[in-house]
Amino acid sequence: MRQFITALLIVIGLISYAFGVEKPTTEQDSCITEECHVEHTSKEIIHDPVSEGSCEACHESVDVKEHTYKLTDEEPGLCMQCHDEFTKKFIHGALEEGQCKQCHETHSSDNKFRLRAKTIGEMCLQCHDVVENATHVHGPTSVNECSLCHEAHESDYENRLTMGPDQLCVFCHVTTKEELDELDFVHEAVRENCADCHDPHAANNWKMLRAEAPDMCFGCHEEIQAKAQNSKQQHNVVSEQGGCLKCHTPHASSVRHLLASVPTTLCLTCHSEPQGVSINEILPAFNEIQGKAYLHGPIQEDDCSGCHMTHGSDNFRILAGAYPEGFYTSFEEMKYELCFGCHENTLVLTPTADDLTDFRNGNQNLHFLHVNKERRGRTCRACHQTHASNQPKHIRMSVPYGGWKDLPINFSKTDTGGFCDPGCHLEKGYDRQTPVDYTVKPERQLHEFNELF
Amino acid sequence: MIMKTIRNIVAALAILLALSSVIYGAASSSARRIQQGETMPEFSAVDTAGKPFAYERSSGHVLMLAFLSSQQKRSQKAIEDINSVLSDIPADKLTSLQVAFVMQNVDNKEFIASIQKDSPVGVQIIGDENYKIWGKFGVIVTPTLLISDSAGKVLCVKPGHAYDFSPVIKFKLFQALDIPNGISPDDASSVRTVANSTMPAKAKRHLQMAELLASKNRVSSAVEQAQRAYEIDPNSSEIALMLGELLCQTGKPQKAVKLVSPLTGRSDREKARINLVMGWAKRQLDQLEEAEKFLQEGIRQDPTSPRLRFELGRIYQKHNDSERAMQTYVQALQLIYPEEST
Repeated sequence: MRQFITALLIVIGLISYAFGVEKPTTEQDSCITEECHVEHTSKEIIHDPVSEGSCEACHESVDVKEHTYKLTDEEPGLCMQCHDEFTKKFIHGALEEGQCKQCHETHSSDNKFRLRAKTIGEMCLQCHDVVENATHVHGPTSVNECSLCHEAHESDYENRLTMGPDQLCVFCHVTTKEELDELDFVHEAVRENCADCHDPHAANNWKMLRAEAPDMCFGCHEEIQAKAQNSKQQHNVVSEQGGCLKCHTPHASSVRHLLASVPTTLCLTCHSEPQGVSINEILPAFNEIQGKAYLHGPIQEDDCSGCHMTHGSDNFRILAGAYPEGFYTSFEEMKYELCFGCHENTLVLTPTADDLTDFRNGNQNLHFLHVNKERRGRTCRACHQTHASNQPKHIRMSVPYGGWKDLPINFSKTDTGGFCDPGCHLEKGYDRQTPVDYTVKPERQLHEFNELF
Repeated sequence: MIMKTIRNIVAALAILLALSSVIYGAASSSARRIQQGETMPEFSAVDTAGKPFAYERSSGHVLMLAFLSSQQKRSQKAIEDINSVLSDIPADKLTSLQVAFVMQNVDNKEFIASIQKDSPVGVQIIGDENYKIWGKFGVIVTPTLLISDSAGKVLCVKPGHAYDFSPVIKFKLFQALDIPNGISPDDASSVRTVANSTMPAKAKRHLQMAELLASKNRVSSAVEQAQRAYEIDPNSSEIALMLGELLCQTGKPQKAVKLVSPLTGRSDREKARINLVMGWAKRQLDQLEEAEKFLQEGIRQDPTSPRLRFELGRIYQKHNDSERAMQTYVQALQLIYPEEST
């Protein structure tokens, strides 16, 4: 058997020799003839020197008799003899390594640019699998149009982008550009690079986000993450999937904080219905401002965040600052941090005032009188309904006082002052122009007292 | 009986009087703070640099008066917004604007210096330790911002630093200074955001991709993108024309004619593009006479289009009229390279 195989190989060798083309041993007019190297011109797109028969542009003879040749230079120097050198900042890795042939056929190809693959996209895919079974793919990537965004050889922009990252995306996303130009508050990431949040090729998240909100957002907004996750009082929605986008728009808004809508509208999207705060607490539906004549300033301005920290806070009801929960408290300035965020602290620090407040009897500051007490100072909530009421200065109709749910306030206002006839004390008036003499007992009370007897 | 009736009438009148005083009281309850539409009170003061400040309605100046606190985050953010809005005001309008910040605690020199350094206009800072100016305008919170027009009418009273502080003061200030800003009064405090997922936005994206691909000579891919845009928005003449041109480029004249012939064109330039596609396609269909008419009409409508002249040149070439063909090609090139026309 072994002898048979040996004989067969000898016969095959002899036949091949008989039919094979002999290498020329002298200089030839052309390398490409019917017998030799014809495959180099058999395809549609032919390298210019090949089609011109100028093989010597790239090859030089080593030994004519042996018909051995070598390249006139090594890659990429060889290619650079005719093709311009790369001068831009970012050059394709393959080129830097001198691997022009990694993408291009040197003699001829059936593909445009003599690519080794049918399209640029297919060519790129051989090394760059940017999709990897992703569920959401960018339009140009899905149709293999890599060169829409990338230069194949070199560019002055990182990742060999065809334009700066601030221009590239909006070249196609024109509507976004038009809207961005019109809006005053633009997300910093949008100004700098859309790819900070979006994977420009493909991702497993909606809109090709690199991650979903809030994780995506927390990547930069660490202080918000800390607030949302470490605060004693957390706004649950922030940490929910997609949480940030329930209130914020990701690209730009006509208002601060990239709000997606008017704050009260956003808040009432959830808070018009009862909301579970914890297993033990359900926050009732917020409807106390409806139909009310006098609204607290922030409510009037549709701005719940005037008092509430929307991400989380260490104060109850995620308030922006400390605010006493009860009817009485010993006065300390720190306890009213929330109110002093907008109102002057002198309101309760000075016993007399002229222009600071209207709640004064002559120049006796009645805010000071009620609030600034070592023991049992009245808190703001003792007289003011926090969100809204039907009385001027959003004064309460009544206030819970221990077991008494509706201790009445009975407030009425005059041009120069007002009256209160609350459950706390006898009727007292105040007048900025003609101060009431508090040493005299109120007349009405005397009459009532006399009528009893 | 008569006495009883009189007593009842008196009692009714007394009740009515009492009620009216309550109603009046309620109506005037918000009177402490100056209201929009009222007349801005005149006042004068000396600023922290010792320079006098006087607001007189007769001066014809627009006044921006901000009540701020040097110790409050909200006031600091309000100052950022105010500076941003002021930096958008054209220089020629700044001469008719007076800006003053009223504050307590003006001894915070560092803060005062930073305000003056960051402000794009000259701001006078007025100390109001005894709340005199504060009381004159009925301010109860900081920040509060007032803007009055050149006639001294209050245009804006904005207490607090709410979400719409910046757009509202910008709108009101521009209104007072007579600067067009293209925003309707209703939009000033409305919230507008980027809405890039509308159908026209999607169609435009594909159209732009088509243009980019065409510029890279990737015509067949460009056709695919333009077709997608057309599927999304078949009523857009811009898309139909782009697709029509690309169909001509890829040798599909019948499809181009079918697509573009129903279009009428709203401007001369658009009409010229329609004529270009029609002429281009008709030339490919060998209907040279018709093609020439379309292209001549197109050149009349848009004499700056090189492509129209190039296509016309090709018709002359087909007629073996080499002289006119050459002339027309040269005209096309002159439109592309005007500096080299000599």
